[in-house]
Amino acid sequence: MTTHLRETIKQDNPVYAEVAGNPIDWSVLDALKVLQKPGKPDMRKKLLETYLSSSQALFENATAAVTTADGGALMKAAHSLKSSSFAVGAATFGATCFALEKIGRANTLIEAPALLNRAKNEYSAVCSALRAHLNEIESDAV
Amino acid sequence: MIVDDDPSIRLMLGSVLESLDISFEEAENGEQALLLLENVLPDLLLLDVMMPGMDGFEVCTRLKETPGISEIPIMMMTGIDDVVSIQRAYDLGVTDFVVKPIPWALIGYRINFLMRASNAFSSLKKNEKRLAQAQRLAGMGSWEWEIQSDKMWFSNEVQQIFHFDPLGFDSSFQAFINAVHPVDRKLLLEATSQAIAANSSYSIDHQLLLNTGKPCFVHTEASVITDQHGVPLRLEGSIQDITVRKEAENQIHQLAYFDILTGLPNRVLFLDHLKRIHSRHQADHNRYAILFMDIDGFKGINDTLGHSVGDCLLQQLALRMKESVRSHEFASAGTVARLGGDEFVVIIEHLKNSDDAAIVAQRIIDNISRPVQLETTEVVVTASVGISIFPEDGQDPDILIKHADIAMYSAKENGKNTFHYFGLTMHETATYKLDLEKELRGAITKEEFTMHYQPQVDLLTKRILRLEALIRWNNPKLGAVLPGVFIPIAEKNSLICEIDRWVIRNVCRQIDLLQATDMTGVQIAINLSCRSLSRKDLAPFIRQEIDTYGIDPTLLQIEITEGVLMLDADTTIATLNELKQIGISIALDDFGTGYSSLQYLQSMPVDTLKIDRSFVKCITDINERNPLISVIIALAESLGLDIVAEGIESEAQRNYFRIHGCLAGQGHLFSRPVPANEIPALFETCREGKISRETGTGE
Repeated sequence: MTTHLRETIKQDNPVYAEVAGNPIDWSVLDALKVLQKPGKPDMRKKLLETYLSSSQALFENATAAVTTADGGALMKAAHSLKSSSFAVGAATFGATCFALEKIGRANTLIEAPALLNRAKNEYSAVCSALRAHLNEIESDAV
Repeated sequence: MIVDDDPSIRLMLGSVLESLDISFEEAENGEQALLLLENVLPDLLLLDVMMPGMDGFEVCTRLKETPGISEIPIMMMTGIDDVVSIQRAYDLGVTDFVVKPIPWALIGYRINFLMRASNAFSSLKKNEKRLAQAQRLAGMGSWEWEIQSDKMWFSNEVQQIFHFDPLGFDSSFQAFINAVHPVDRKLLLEATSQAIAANSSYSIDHQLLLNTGKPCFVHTEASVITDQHGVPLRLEGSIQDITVRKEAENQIHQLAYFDILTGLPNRVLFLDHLKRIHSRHQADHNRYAILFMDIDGFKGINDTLGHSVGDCLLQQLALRMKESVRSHEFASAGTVARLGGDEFVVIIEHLKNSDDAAIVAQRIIDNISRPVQLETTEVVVTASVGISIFPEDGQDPDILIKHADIAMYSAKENGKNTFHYFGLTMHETATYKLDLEKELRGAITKEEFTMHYQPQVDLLTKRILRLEALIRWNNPKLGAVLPGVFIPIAEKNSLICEIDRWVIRNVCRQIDLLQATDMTGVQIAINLSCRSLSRKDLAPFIRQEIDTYGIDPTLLQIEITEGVLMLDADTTIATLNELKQIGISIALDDFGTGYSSLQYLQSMPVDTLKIDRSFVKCITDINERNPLISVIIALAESLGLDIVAEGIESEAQRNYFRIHGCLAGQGHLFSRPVPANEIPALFETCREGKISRETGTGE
């Protein structure tokens, strides 16, 4: 049953497929337009601001956990980073976070520094892309 | 309520809910969520699995354990392929799950579907609760029986009605039938098989056999449910506890058919019972008896000791009557009934011979006459019983009751405390008495009464001393009726007082008529009843009549009997004294037959004693010795009273009394009573000394 469930989840979630090369799957943010109510503050702007501010601390938590070889702390930080990253369309970085979460849970941290390094690069790409997008939205609004 | 540690997720979900116009609360972790839940009751919980501190599973577990919030639907938000979490969430009773990343375009619909399902679910729960509540209040439960598999299902209420332990119940139809009272099992089984055979339904009141031993009445309804080919699949039914209603029905039945005071069947039930017994005995050519009972002097007890004592007495007597018939082989139990007041009836079935009825009657009389202890007093009463027997004494129940009643009256008239069988002569007597009473009521206005006069003479000279006025009744239908027959009937009601007044007026007029003749100065005696004498208005009436006719009061004498003091002695004596004061003299009639109490004689203002005819009758010879007559005469002399001997029919008697010091007499030897127009002739004869020796009926 578990196997069957796994297959179903994969089929039902197109966002699960990684979009190689691009740090952000913009279609995810586009999909959020349906939630935007006319006359209300821009949803995406608020979401991106929230992401940018909350993810910073989480990434620092993950880095510290790798340094101290704390699998549990790594798992928690990576898990949170993963779900919020997927929410903003940062699928590549999200997948790396998921990998970090898994090794954290298993507490097999041999590959952790290398993965963290990759994550760091991906995270900075995600942040620049999102900041640029945020600027775009703001200039659109003005 | 959104429970997620990720602020961006909370932000997004919040937007989704806002777009659906759903208000919400947010919590960052499990602890915060539980704290919020103490004050708010959300329609849906959107719950993240992994959170710092208390995770989603823990929240879920806590929620399910807490009454009031355990039913809140939960949508668990899990990682993309966190299959283990999904399985665990399902096991914990989570309603739905959504995998992250959350499909924002669809999540709104998911939430709406879930809310709708949840609303439907909760209204279903509410209805279920309402139904259970209604069933509990109505004492009603439902059940189903799968015919093929012989499995029964019951609602909680049914288990409560049946008082059975669900664990010890094998859920078969036979187990259900076993809980039904044996007397109703066949009824229910037949109804069930008929319903299955005809694809119909049934509705039955029956009893249950509870292991508590208490009586339990239920109303069971069931109908057959078939498949699409009309083959019966199962029976769906309801069962309602109607014990309270049945008890109320019984109570109403009790009130309608039983006497409240004694608990005996009342007139209605008795008549119904009698009708059924009658037709059975008629068909089988069997005999049965009706005993009609009346408590002697019961009215007196009610009047003197009060109705509550009377009621207590009736209760005790009812018990004794029941005992009297219950222990008897000829009487079936439960056939004593109270007709009302102090009247009771007993039916004795399958009578072998009429003596059997007498055995029961005597037993009742004996039991009734034993002293009854009532709170502070002891009372002794007796019963008079009348017996009628089917078929000899009547062909239908009404006549048999009437005849038993007549026989009871006959028993009363013959000394009470006894029983009488009905006889045809009784019927004739009763009918004659009814006729008599009816005719008597119209006798005064139809002027059917006349007065006759009989002289009281000096035994030596035969000179007329006084006339006694005697009433006569001549009715066109009944002919001449003797005073001894109609006076007792008139005495039973106020008719006697009217008759007495008529006599007083008539005699006063007669005295007035005689005043104008040479017969003036003769005294006339009239007989007045005890009832009239005990009335305060008698003396004023007599005075008024004397004034009206302008007659000399001393020309009037009133004859009374010793019985007068039995009824309100004080008023009677006062009346007599008042009459005496205006000059009227008093004679004591029938002396020597009643109480002949010297105390009575002293307390009453009597002038004349009349020796009863029974003493006179004994005398056949002048030399006879009769000490009693001598004593009476001596008594009268010493008290200074006049004395008159009644019923003198022979010269021997006349001489006997004259010699023994009784100087006045009355009887056929001198004259029979004569109508008023013959009074002059009477005087004429007496003056000539030619006393008629005519004999005839009368005094």
